[in-house]
Amino acid sequence: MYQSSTLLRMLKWLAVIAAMCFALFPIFWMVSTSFKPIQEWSTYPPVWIPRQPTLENYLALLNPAALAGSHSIDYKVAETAWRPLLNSLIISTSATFFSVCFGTLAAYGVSRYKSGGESYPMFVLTVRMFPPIAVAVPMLVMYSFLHLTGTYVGLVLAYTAFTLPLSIWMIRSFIDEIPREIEEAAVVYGLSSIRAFWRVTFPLIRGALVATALFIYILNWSEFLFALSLTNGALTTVTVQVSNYFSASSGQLYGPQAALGTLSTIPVIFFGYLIQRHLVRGLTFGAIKR
Amino acid sequence: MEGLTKRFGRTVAIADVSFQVGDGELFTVVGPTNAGKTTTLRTIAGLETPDGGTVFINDRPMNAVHSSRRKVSLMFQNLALFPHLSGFENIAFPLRNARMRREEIQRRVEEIADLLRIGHLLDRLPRTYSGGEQQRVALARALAPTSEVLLLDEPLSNLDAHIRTSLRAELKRLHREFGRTIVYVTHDQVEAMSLSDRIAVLREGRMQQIGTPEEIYERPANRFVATFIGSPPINFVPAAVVEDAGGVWLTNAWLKLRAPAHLAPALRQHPRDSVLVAVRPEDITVTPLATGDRVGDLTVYAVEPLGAKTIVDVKTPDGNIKAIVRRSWEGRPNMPVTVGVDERRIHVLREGDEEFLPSGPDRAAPVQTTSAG
Amino acid sequence: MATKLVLRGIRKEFGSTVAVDDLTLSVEEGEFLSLLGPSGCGKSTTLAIIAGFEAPTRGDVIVDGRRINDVPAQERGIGLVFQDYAIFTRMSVFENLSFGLRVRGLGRVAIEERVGRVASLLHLTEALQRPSVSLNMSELQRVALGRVLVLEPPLLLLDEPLSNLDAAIRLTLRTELRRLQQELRQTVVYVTHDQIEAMSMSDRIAVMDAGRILQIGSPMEIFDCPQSRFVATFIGDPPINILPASLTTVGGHVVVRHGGLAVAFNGAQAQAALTGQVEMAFRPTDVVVRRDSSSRAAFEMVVDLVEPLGSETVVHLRAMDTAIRAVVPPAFAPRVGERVGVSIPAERVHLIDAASGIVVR
Repeated sequence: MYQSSTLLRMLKWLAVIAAMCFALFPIFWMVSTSFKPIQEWSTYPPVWIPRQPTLENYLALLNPAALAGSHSIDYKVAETAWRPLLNSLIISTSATFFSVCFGTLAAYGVSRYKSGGESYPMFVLTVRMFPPIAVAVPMLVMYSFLHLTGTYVGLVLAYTAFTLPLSIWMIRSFIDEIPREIEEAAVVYGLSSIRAFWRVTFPLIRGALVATALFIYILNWSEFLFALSLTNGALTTVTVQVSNYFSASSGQLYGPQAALGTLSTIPVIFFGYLIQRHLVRGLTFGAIKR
Repeated sequence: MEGLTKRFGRTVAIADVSFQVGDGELFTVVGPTNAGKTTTLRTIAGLETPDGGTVFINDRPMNAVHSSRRKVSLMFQNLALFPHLSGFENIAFPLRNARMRREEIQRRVEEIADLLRIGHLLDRLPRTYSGGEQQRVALARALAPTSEVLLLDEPLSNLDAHIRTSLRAELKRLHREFGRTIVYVTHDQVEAMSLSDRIAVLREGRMQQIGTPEEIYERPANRFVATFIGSPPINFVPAAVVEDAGGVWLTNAWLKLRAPAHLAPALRQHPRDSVLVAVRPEDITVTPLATGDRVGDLTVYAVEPLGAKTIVDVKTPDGNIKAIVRRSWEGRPNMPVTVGVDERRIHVLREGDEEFLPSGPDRAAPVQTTSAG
Repeated sequence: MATKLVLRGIRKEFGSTVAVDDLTLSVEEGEFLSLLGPSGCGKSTTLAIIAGFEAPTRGDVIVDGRRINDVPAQERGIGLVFQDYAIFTRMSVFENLSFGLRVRGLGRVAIEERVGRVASLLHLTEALQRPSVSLNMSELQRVALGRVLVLEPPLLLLDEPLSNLDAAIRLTLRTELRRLQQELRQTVVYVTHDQIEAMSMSDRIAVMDAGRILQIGSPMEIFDCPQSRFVATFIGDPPINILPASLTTVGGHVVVRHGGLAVAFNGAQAQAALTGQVEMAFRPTDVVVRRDSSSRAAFEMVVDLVEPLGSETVVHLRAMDTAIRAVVPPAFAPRVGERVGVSIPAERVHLIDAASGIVVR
């Protein structure tokens, strides 16, 4: 009895470790590659840990001019990666902000007043039901007509529109969990409906909003298709920049690509770490009798 | 102070309900589930818009007045405390919105907390409270503002029996001390009886009867009210109206009652009709038959001791009836018995009718018995 | 009468908490025994141990003289009905009732006979062919009960089977359940927190608190002769009056006094060994309330609160720091502020040792 349960526990742990290795391997590989010199990028057998760790890849990103004489990397990208990083930051942050803002307002209406009718939430979701490539071309035409191509406004609009359904759905489920009597109590005790939302409901869903924002932020940050097609090369985001590290002689420049990947992961992880205490659920406990 | 009529279009939650609540009165709306009690309360609070009718507070029509300006307090059935606010902030919430001065708020909250003995809860969040504590804080929040009407929706539900009994008395005492106007909603007829100045019995959105607890219990308007109020519920015994030289009688195979003075005139109008005699369990006496007596149709079905009193279920040819007997009553299941009914206390309705036959003013008061032995 | 079930020295620990502590109990064949106590007192855990869902940390579960600790739940043949009855809604009443018998492979004739008998006892005969979805709450709970009863279990365990029902239905089902149990001579262990249910249905009640049985006895024994403050308080509604009191001896009589409220016992009645703090306890129904407060034996109190309940009226009485509840007939019609005379018959007063909470008289 005792032995079999110990064995079972060990097997469980093994399974968990295996799953973690599987999930984390690409990240390990990316970080590892970002420190490898060009010879170690794609050799066989593969090099797991860089034998001659170098910061050259990062230098290629951030200060390509310094590498001009060395020729160890045949880089064709003269620009630094600072600009794309800044572009991504501006676009993703504003698009996330708008998506969560409008999402909250819409979700509140849907949850409390059934705005748009019973089938409205499903209808909203249809935006996510066809592949983005299907709308990319029509949007490109529309954008050039409206002179939105290659502008911040254009990308922010596109990102907001495409993440809004997810925002609405996620936030709606959180608002649904807040008993409406709590808001009604605030109204009976002297607040207008809008202030009741702001003073009572908003503090209760704040954590959930932050979680939604993180989720949306990651989507925006890693978006590639629109960033490529709606910019005409005039505006480069991180994801597009990664694909720019390419040279005729060496093919894919895995090192700088991995380095930019690593760099662009750091803010998201940092952001996630900062808000993790907000990701706790069960805030409404104790509000009502069950 | 109020006179309101409300009609609800779509699902007819309440249909043409009117009542007036006097200043300082504790008025209870009682009824089974789906009677429309909560809807009535929410309409008074302005959280529902009536499809017809008007809500008046202090003779002023309220239909166009927003909830936040009606000066009502509502204690929700699920309490709806603000989970992110401390006990103090919960209670102070209505006061802050009324722009009360800071020191005034402090004083008022402490006063209310003292009264409800929740001083130790003020600094804590609602999630740390027990069920009874949540209830008290919600009540304190409702009591804190100087509202015109206090609306309480099942404030004592989901509590242990003993806590409920003592909170019930506490609430009644509070009401007496404060003299606030209270509209109280409950499904528990015991609560309604024990607390109220007056009771309104509601069923499926329709008003059945309004009266003092004594009126409702002693002179129920119809079959539903008679059954709903009182536990164990009133018994209905089928009988026929027979008139002979001796007077008017109500008889069936096992019971013969002389029609009491308060009913005789009405019963004379319906000779030979089938009627139902309604009699409260405490107005029935059950006597075991001595051995050797003729074995009748009536036997004991079950005996349920409750401590201070005992409920006896008697099996009759017309179904079971329940009687409340003294605690020392000796009887076992299947034992033959005879049954006596205090005919001065009965109500009669014609078979198929819902309303009782009119009874004269001389119906007997409850029988005086010694309270303890 | 044979002994059906014995629990001997049962102890159940969940981690560091003790849910059931040294519980010993025996149930006779055909007996209706209630485990009564507040939530968390260990009554449901005890039931789960009898059923076999929980293994006791210590102690024996014995049914029909056989120790069944190691017999898995499904082989114990014990019937169980819970608060949340799970009825197969797609089946008719008959199919629901016969389900267990069909699983056991009984013949059609035998099944129909047994289902028919149980259905008639539960007043379900007319409903047999109806689909379960059309049943009301009372009928559903009776089907849940019937489904277990047709299996003729040697022992039936009921865990608050009435607590989800309306008050009126609860009242009738209570009577029906007791009647049925007596007719079938079914051994029942019934778990409830509702003292009225326990009082009205049981042959014996075991009052539990904090994992222990405090007292076992017939309903009237428990009501009239509680052995501890807990039992005295838990049983009875409105709850028993308990007042701190002092003891003095006056000429062969022991006088128990709380403020102006005094009860005299003759020497034999009171325990001479009593020292320390005592409390006097008496039921609201035992308080004698009179209109004339002048009588010398009576203590004058003021009516503080009146709660009419229809068939009786609860009055809260007050004098200085003394507050008690009394039950009077509605015809007494007390008015708030009225002065009344109060006396309490000595034979109805319990004395409780304040420190230990044990009833000493």
